[in-house]
Amino acid sequence: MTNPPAVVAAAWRPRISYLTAQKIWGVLFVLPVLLLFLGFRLYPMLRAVEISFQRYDLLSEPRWIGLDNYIFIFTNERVLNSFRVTALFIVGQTVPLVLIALVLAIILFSLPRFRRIFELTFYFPVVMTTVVAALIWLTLFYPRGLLDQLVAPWFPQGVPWLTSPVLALPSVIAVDIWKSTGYYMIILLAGLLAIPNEYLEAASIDGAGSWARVRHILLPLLRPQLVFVVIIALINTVQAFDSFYVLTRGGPADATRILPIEIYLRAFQLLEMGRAAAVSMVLFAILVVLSLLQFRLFRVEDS
Amino acid sequence: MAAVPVSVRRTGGLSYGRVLLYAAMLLVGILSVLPFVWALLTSLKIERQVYAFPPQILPDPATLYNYGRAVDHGLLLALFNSSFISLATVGLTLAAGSLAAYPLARLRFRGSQIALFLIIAPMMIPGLVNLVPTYIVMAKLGLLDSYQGLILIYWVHSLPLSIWILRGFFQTLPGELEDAAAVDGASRPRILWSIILPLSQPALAAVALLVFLNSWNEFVIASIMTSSAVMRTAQVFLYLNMTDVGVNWGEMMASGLAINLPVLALFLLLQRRFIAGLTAGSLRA
Repeated sequence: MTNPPAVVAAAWRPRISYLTAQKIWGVLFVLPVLLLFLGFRLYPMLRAVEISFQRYDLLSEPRWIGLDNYIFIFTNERVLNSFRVTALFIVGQTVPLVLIALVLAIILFSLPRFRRIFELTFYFPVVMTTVVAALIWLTLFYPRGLLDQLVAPWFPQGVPWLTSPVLALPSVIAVDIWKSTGYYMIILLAGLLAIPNEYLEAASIDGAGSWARVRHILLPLLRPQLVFVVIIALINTVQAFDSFYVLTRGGPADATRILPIEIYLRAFQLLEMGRAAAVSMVLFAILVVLSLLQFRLFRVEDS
Repeated sequence: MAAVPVSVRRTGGLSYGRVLLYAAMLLVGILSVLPFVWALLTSLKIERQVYAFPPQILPDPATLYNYGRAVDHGLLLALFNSSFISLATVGLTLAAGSLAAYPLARLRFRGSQIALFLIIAPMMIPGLVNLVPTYIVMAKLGLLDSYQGLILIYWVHSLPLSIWILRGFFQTLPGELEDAAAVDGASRPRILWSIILPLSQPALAAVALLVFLNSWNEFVIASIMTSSAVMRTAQVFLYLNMTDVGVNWGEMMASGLAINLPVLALFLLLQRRFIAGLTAGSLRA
């Protein structure tokens, strides 16, 4: 084992091959994932852009039609309605969702005893599969179901929870809020628990009341988590699908036809792939803006 | 709001306002669990009682008949499909994810920042936006209505967040062990396999849980990708049974609870770690 070439190799290896090996391994390790993304993430994305300029029904060959799809989705009453419903849904869902999560988090923060049990219980609906949860609520909303029975003293004829164009959206929102509040509450509560106790004690000594302590200490210190929760809630809301699909499928009279439902029905019921892709592009633009905000937050947290 | 006694870690006496708050929390707690309990009770009822008005709370007689019917309609196959697809996705994601996360956390090479961006950026492209082209691509590849097709899509979807979480965890590990191993001549794959991965079990477990749940619960993609009855995932089976067969609610609740059971079991078993795992991607504490 003492022949010269081996000694030379041993002396050489550490410096040069350490760095090149590092580079080679780095590329090799990342390569499978990169190829996977190029093929099944980036390529479909580019195809979506292409299809959004085409008329395509899956059956016949796609045909280039320029901006027609985009003109259509910004002039067609049904699609415009979907934009309106989506805006209504986003505001109507995110605001109460975050407020309820915040109130629950602050209350639990002030009640150390049994906090864990409450946390777990509030988190319970989050754990439930959305389709299962939505189906359970479907039976509760059903005419002459449990909810109708609960309101029977005031509404003996029952309430058209999902069948009235006015009530349908609030009903679905109620289910979504019931389903997801626990998730946001946990994040906010974790933020509150990380606030150093001294701040609150100092405020108490200075004679600050409960509300003053919430308003001037907890809320300002909770700001990063609050911003974060709002953005995540927005992103999730824009993408909501399952509960709508199970509960109303966009109805009644398109009152709950949010953009994801619009994309789904247009693509797979009407086979209007081009128009569906065009709507996807708009949804994508909305999400990119929200995600860039989120990405910036990640970066802030990172540093 | 004015009555909120914000006193931290002081378990002092029970004031009037405190009792009120506990009562409110109890109510919220009951509301959180009640629909689930109602589903459980419904699943044990006979058909006549399920649709009774006014609704009857307790099943009388209590029966497992609905669960038997659900099994007759193909519940077990649907559960198998979902288990197989979800577990395969978890395995593939852990393998490719930790492989990619390691150099992004540790090794400096040309283009590593670009690679990081390319890998993380798809987090911004949600599945719904890609629904139409993904369907078309899968159709071209002949992967519609197959295990491989769904596993492939779920795999690609779960990688960005998984890589993000794993990379974050790898960065917290002390580098001395690796340096020592490298000086001793251990190759990078060996370092990753024998040093990094054993130390990263908590992060790997969190990622596995997250990916399993996302795959298990996924509905839209599964519903457009599967057409034959034998390929249905649990969620698709549940939904289509309602619309196609028009099953009664008792059976629907029985199927729903059975499909939710793995998730529920994991939650009750892991409790706080479950919550930590689910919020890992967002908090990264």
